[in-house]
Amino acid sequence: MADEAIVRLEGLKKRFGKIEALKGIDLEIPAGITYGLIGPNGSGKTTLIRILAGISRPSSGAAFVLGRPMPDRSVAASIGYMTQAEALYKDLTVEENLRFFGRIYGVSGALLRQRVDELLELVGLSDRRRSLVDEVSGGMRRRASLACALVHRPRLLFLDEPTAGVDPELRIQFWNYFKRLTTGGVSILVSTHHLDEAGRCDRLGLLREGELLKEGVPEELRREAQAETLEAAFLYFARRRSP
Amino acid sequence: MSRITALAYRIFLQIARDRRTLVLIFLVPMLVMGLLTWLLRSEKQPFRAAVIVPDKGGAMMGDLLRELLVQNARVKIIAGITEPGINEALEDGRIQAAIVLRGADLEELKTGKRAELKVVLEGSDPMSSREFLQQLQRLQKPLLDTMRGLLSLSDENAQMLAPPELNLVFLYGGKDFGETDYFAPPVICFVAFFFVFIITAVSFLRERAQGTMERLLASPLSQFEIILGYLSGLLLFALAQTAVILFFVFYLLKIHYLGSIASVLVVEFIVVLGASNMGIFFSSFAKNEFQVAQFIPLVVLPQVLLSGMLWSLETMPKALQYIAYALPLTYANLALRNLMIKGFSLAQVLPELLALLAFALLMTAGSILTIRKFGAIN
Ligand SMILES: Nc1ncnc2c1ncn2[C@@H]1O[C@H](COP(=O)(O)OP(=O)(O)OP(=O)(O)O)[C@@H](O)[C@H]1O
Ligand SMILES: [Mg+2]
Repeated sequence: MADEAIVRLEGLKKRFGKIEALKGIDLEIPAGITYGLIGPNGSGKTTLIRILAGISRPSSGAAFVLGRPMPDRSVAASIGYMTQAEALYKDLTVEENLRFFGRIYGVSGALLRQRVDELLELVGLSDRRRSLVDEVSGGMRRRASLACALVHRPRLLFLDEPTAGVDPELRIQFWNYFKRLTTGGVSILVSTHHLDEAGRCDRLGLLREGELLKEGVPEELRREAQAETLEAAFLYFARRRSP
Repeated sequence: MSRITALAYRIFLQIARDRRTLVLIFLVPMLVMGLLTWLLRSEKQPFRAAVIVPDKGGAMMGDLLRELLVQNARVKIIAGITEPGINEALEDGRIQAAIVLRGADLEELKTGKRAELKVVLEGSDPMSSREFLQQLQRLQKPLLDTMRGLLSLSDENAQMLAPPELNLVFLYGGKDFGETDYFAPPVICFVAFFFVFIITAVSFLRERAQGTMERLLASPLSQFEIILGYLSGLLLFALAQTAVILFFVFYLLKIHYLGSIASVLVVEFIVVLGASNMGIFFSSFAKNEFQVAQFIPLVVLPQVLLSGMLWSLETMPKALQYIAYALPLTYANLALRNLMIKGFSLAQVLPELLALLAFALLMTAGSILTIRKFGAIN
């Protein structure tokens, strides 16, 4: 069961009034890997992740997470979700935010303290732990936001552009950490614009205008497109799809 | 100049695009003015009184008094109430006051004896009691004049005819209960209701605006847990607020009250329960703080005008009374006045408490249903 698909989409559609944000997506994501969701602005990445996180309902089709059709709160505890905009309480300190999100997932006491220390260290905010979120820099907020998604040690991570606005050095650190997490058995679905980061994913899905253009291992995608870079490959598949 | 017009144009665009604001800007003043005019213009319900004359000889003066009351004062005479039944009739609201006329036998009056006018007042609304008493005072002179005519006494003897002796009895409240004692209970629950409503609505809205609602919805928290969490957090402040208000009102303003402070707190608790859930429920329908602010006139004004806070329900026209009984604060005011002015026990205000509880449950159901649906800006 463990290496069953951790996420499965069947003809997933989502519409907002006239806009069809997802136009029927079929996809299976195996467990234990970092899956990269690549696509330009408005391609539907956030929409897809919100459905997987159980916040938004599919208009038609189905999304399964850990074998359960979403939305389903019983899998919520296994999911860590980092929203695209940093969702934090601005009038609480960095540490208080972390503790709050830990506690609503049922982490408490010494374990919570230990995890909070660990994560603050990881995102380099140990010395700013007592600063109000309102008073730290934009990049620091993103780092705090990531830490909040990790505090309950989820098996499954949905990260919506986790590295947007984060400086290059820390970005490399983040990706190293993601790698460590996946070797530890965590599955990650991450959306990004940075195609250089996409190369570090185990598999990629290319999303455009609500459609999954292409899906596979980065190396294979590049080979199939006969492209030097992932950028070129993405353009190749985008052009091939349009009439 | 063009910089200023740019700003003005932007504000114009924003308000014009916010349809709800646009509608409310025009609708709310009309609603308020309409309600107010309706309240003020409509014929006030007359004061209900019984005139009881236990001894035969006084029948004539009794009839005269009834006639004067109906003609010169806004009083409706309720018949069929006997002296032992006065309290019961006052309690169930058939009458608001009873006048018992004694020693009004013509023959005895001629000898210079004074009749006795005992007025038993329900008394929980000091203003209508006072108004009634003033009217009664004003009728003394015409009453005497007519009596003098009837007795056809010589002028000298007529001076002998003394005004009846007025004897006041209050069922509730009392002579020392004034307007402030009447207004204190509704103000206490209004303040709590209003603040809790606004605080919950705004903090819930903020939760959505800053995106943390997304995180809560993605967490294992159920809607019910979210509501309970909010409630427990707010309750502490709401009850502390109430305690401070009560302390201020009772000990520093020296408001008269009967009953126990504990029962007042129980009512407040249920009011706060309803108000906070109403805040959660209503905030689902607001996109920004601006729209939350618009709920204030909608939620607050009708309740200020109709809940019996300023005008007692009994004097309102029937149609408005029906609206009033659909408002939660009406029940809160009734319950608190019964507790504080009449000295009722909690058991005696059970119907009002149940109505308040029903409102709280309705709002809880509403907020549970809407948190997930509108909680995240889909
Ligand atoms: N609540 C909403 N109401 C209306 N339309 C929406 C809503 N949310 C998303 N959309 C539309 O759905 C489409 C996909 O949006 P989505 O946010 O999923 O894109 P994205 O891939 O995450 O883009 P970005 O890279 O900019 O974050 C867009 O056209 C967007 O306008
Ligand atoms: Mg997005």
